Amino acid sequence: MNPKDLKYSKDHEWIKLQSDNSALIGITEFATDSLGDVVFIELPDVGSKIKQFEKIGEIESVKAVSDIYTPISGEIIEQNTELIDNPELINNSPFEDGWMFKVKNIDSNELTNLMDADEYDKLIED
Amino acid sequence: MTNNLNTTPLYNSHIKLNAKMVDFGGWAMPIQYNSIISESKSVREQSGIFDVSHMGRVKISGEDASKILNKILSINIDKISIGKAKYNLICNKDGGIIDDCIIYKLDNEDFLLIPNASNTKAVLAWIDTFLQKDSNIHINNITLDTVMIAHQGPEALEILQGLASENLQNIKPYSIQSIKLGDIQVSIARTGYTGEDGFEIIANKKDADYLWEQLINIGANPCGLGARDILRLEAALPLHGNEINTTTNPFQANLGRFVDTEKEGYIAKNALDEIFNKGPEKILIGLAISDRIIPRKGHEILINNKKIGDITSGCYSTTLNKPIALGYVPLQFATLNTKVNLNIRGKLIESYICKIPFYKRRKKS
Repeated sequence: MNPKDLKYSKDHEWIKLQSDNSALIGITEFATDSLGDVVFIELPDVGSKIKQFEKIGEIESVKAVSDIYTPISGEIIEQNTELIDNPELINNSPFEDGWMFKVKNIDSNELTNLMDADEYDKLIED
Repeated sequence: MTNNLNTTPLYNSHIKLNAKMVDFGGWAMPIQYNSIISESKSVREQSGIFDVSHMGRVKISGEDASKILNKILSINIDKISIGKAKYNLICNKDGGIIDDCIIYKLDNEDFLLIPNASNTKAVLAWIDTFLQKDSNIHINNITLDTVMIAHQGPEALEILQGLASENLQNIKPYSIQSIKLGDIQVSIARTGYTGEDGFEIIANKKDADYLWEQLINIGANPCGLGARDILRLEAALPLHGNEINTTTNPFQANLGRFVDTEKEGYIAKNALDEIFNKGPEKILIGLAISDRIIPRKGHEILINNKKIGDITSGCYSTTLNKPIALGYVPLQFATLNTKVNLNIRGKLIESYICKIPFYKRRKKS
C-alpha cells in the first residue's frame, strides 16, 4: 500500500514533507519491485541544487540500472548513508528506512505537480 | 507477454510462484521468483532448481552419426565412453563459434546434443549442411516434448537422493543415466552451469509439473535466470552471445582445452590450427572492481584513457559481494593485476585484471 501522507511522481519517487519545510525523498514499493535487488545508488553531493523532475542520479539493481529523478526542487542537505552498506533497505523498507535523500528550501507550489496516494494507486494499476 | 514467445512445460508453475517472466531468446522464462540475490545464494549454500527447458535437446542417431558429429564438434566423439558427456564447441570454417554445447553419448550410435536456446535453429541448420542423401543418420528435435530441470548446489545430491531410485553417488560428473525420480522415468546427468555440483534432469513434458513440485517439496529452491547468470559468471563460464559468438574463436575465450587438435575431419580444423599457431590477438580476462557500480556488456576497458577492449558480461557477485566482469583485451595487456579503467556510462571506474574463475567451489573431502 502506498502511504496516504506522501506525494508521488510519475517516475515512482515519493516525497514526505517535514515540519521544518524540508522533505524526505525515496522511491516507491512499485519501483523497487520492478527494479529487484538494489546494490548501489549514486546521488549528487550534499549542497547540490536540484530542479523538479530532472535526472539527478542512478540506482543500480542486480538486473539493471535506472535513473533517479527528483520530485521537487531544492538543495540536498542529507543523503541516507545507511544505504551505502545496506542498499537492500530500499527493497525491504522503501517508504521508511530506505529513504534516499533530504532536501531543503522547497517550493510548496511544486507539490501540485505531484499525485496523492489515490492517484498514484491508479497510475500503477493501469 | 507470451505473445509469439515459446513457453516451457513449466510456464504455469512459474506463474503460480509469482515469477517475473522475461523474453529470453524467444522464450518466456522466469528471471526471478523473489530475489535474485537470495536465489543465487541458495545455490551456493543449499540447492536451487532452474527450468532450463528452453535449451535444445536433439537426438542424433544412426550408423553415420559419429562420423558426421566428428566433422561438427570440436572434440573426438570416438574418445567418449558410452554414458558420458563432453562440453564442446561447434565452429564454422573460420573457427568462429556457432554454439557451445554438451554432447551425451547414450550408445555407440545414439547421441543427445544440448544447444543453447537461441542457437538451436542455427545448429540444426548447420548439421543439415553435412548430410547427404544416403547418410544413415536420424535427427530428432525433442525439445518441445520434454522438460529439463537443473538442480544445483552443495546439497543437491543429498536432497535429490530422497526421490531417486538409484544411488546418485554412482553418477559421476559428466555422466548420464536413466533412473526413476519418484514415480517417473528421467534421464539424469551430473552436469550444470553454476560452478556447483548438481544434476540436469530430462523428463517427458507431461511429468514436468509433478517433478517440479516434488523437487520443491524435498527442499530445492526455485531459481530464475537472473541467479543463473550470476552463478555462471562467478564460475567464469562463457555465455554464447556475450563471451563467444561466430566471430570469436575457442582459443581467445580460454576454451582451447575443448578443441581436439589431433582429430582429423573437423570442419574448423585448418582455421583453428592456424589461430593456435599464431596465438590469439585478444583474450578473455576477468576484472575486479572495488566500487559497487556494475560494469555491463558493452562497457569499454581503457588504459591511459585509450580504449583497449570491451566488457562481455558483468554482474554484482552475490558470493563475493562485489561487481565482477569478463572482457577481452589484447594479449600484451592480459597480465594479472594490470590496472585498467572501465567507462561505465561516462564514469571512469578503477579496475584490475584478476584471476578467473572468480569463484571455485571447495571439493568435499
